Amino acid sequence: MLEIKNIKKSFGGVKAIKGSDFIIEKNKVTALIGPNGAGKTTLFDIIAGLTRPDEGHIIFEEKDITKKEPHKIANLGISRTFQQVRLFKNLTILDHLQMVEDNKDMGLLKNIFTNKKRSDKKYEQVLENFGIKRTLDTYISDLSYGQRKLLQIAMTLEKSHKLLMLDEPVAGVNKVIQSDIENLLLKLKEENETILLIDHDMEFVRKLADHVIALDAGVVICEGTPDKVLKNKKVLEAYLGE
Amino acid sequence: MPKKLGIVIAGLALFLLIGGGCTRTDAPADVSTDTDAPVEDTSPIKLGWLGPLTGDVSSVGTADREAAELAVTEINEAGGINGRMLEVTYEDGFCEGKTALAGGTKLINVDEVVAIVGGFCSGETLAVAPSAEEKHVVMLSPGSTAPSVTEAGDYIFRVVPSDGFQGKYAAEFVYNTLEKKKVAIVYAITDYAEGLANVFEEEYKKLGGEIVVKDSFLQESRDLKAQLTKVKNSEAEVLYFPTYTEAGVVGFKQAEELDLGIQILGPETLSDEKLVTAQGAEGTLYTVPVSNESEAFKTKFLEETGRDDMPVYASQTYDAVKILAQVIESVGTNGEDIKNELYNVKNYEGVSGMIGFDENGDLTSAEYKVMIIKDGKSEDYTK
Amino acid sequence: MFFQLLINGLIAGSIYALIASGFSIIYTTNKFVHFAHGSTATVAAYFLYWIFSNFGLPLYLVFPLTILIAALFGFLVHLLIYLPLKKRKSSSVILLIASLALMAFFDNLMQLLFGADVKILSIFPHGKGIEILGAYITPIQIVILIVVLLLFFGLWAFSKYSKLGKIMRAVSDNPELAKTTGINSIRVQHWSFVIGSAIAGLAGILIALEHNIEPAMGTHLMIQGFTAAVIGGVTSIPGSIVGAYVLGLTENFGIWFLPSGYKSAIAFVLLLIFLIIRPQGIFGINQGNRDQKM
Repeated sequence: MLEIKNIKKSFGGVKAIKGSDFIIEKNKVTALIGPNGAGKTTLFDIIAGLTRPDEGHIIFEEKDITKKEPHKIANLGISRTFQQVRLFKNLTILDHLQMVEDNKDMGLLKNIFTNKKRSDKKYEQVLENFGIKRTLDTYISDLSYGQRKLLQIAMTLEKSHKLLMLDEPVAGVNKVIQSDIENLLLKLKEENETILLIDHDMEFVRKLADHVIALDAGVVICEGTPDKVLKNKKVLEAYLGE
Repeated sequence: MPKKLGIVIAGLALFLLIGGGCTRTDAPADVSTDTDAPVEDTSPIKLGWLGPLTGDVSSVGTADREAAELAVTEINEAGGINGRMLEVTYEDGFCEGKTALAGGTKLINVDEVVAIVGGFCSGETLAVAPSAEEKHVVMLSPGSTAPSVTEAGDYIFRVVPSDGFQGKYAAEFVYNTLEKKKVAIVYAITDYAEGLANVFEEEYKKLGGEIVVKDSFLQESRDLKAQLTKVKNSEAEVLYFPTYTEAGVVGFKQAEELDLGIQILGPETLSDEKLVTAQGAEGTLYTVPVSNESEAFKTKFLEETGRDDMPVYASQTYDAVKILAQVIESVGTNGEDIKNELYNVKNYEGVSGMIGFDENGDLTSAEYKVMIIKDGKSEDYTK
Repeated sequence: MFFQLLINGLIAGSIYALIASGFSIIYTTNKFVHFAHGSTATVAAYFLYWIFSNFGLPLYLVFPLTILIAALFGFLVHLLIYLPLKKRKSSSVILLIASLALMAFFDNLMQLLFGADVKILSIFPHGKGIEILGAYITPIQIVILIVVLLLFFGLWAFSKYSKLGKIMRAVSDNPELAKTTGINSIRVQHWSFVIGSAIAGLAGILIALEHNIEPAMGTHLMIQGFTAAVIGGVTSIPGSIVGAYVLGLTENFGIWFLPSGYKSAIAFVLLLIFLIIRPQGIFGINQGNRDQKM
């Protein structure tokens, strides 16, 4: 479904990604692992269109999306979270959930006059599913870190998507929430969602991933089943050597 | 505002660049004191002119510039000053201190003029006076009437009377002629208007009248409702309104809209055509200095310039140029000599009347009359 | 006197509101101070004057045309000046400086083309005001009040109910994040300039009718407009209108006791008070105590 072809990216002389080539298969959970600075988040940014690569192509469902605008890529069905939770400080939970609905039509008139009032019940259900025990009109600034992380994932899911890109979905949360998120992702896996995951927790990766890709400086050093990759000598060296 | 800033910056830049290098010295500039063989100096004599060519009072400023040009043409056609042609450099004072200072400083230090006809507005004159004093350049103003100009310096003269006279005249007019005992004063925060307001207040109180409101506004104000509301709410029977044109237009309009209902009296600035024809001006009175203007001059001026009405202070401007030319002709181009000779002028028959300077460089006497605005025109007021 | 001061305050507040609301829309979406907003109103006013003086077009055409021109002006300023700067990752300070340069340029251009003297627009007959409860108000002033009231309700509804209003706030908060949720941030920013500048055009028309036209007219009002936006809360568009009335009324009742020359000082004092005590304004959202790692 998603092809990364020979992506190269430097930041002011530092070669962050030296040449990345791999494929993400549909309906599978793929994990990207690698030491810090391996270029994982950079790759996410390139895929989402927030950064342009120096060389190479990203092909999504047979379309070359390398040079597309981020909002167009999002509307093609790529939905992502950020490593450090990003939400709109001045808006409420309800605003966020409403916002991810159908942004294809940016026509001014439609957005001023049409007030697609979905019933709040739908959104309250979402909150319940995610275990977010707050009301819809709560401002983001009043949520705890864990709740924000949950909401971010909720938003990413609520948005119509074909590919989910999750950047360290359980980083920085307590065990309870981590386990909630794990269960959620397992459920999504059962529902055959296509997920691309970045994470450092090897147990988590082992449980979830169908396929693991290990990167170092953006270059694939090993890929395969979780068992195979996590025992690979080169991979262990890369991690220990950091 | 931005244009003013641009001019100030440009003026200051020029001043710094060139003024630093070649400041004016006090040594006499004309050739006649040269001890070598006397060579005829035929270079032109340079005068400066400083007045509002743009801004609030520009309609008056540009008209008076034409009066100066008329005088210059006449002088040069008659052979110039001792065979030397007269040249005038015109600088814009915008009727306010900062811009005038830049223009005046340029005239003094860059153009090195022999004397300055100007400033026109009192704020202009007062801003440039210190530099003129220091560099011994005479300023002869055709329009600065603020009382404070009297003390502005030895080198500062004017062919218009101090408003010390006009304010007093206005106060007496209100108390004695209009027989009103309570007045509100609303004035523009400028040297000119503030001067008038203070003189009026002092004189009116001396007569026994009461000032029930005294309020002010910035010259660039375009909303005087606050001040007018206070006046309306008071017991004032007359509003004394010293202001320049643009704020005056606003005042008239809003006074009508608020139904102020009392007589408005102002000074000679209200003679500006823009004010006379403005909404709400009907019935307004204003004082003007009596110009014993020669009919001959009036005819000639209106013919030469194609205008329909005599702008205020045109004859004074004309006189200022002529007086300076005459003085330079007899004593030369040295600033100090010019200054000293001016104090000797006691009975010059100018087109604006008889001119004589007292020890402060002020006119020795003044005469005023009252005008009324009717149907967009000014007429003599008769009770 | 009370009622006259009240009316004076409401009229002053309405005029500030016209400038503040357009400015607020642009500021809340783009998060930098677009000082040249005042110039948009000025350009609109001069355009109106030019059309009115030279072509005999009917008013119902001229007024909407002026508003369109203002919207176009704002759009082009964003497209040609601000957007290229933003693409180069210029900070909001740089954008502010650019806006000051634009303000100086256009104010001067108007002065160059039309002269520095005040132009009077004699479209409607002038005269004594209508008396209400011992106070006077003119027809144009009544129109201004009604227009601003309508504008207030329109903007309030827009803010609360329309998706675009929320999208604008999202874009202002985090344009990158907005993009990843599928929002075309740049287009939203364009719309903010179009709508905000259209309101400035409306402001230019009404101010021209009430106060006449001169080169610095819009820019002079920016100080009060900006203050009104701060008082009302810079994240609240309808709040800026409320802030404008607070300012207008405070100014006009304030001078009951003080010499009228202090009117502008009141604006500055109010601005300072709010910046120190309640920087988010009356309607602004308190950013909360949690550490913001966003």
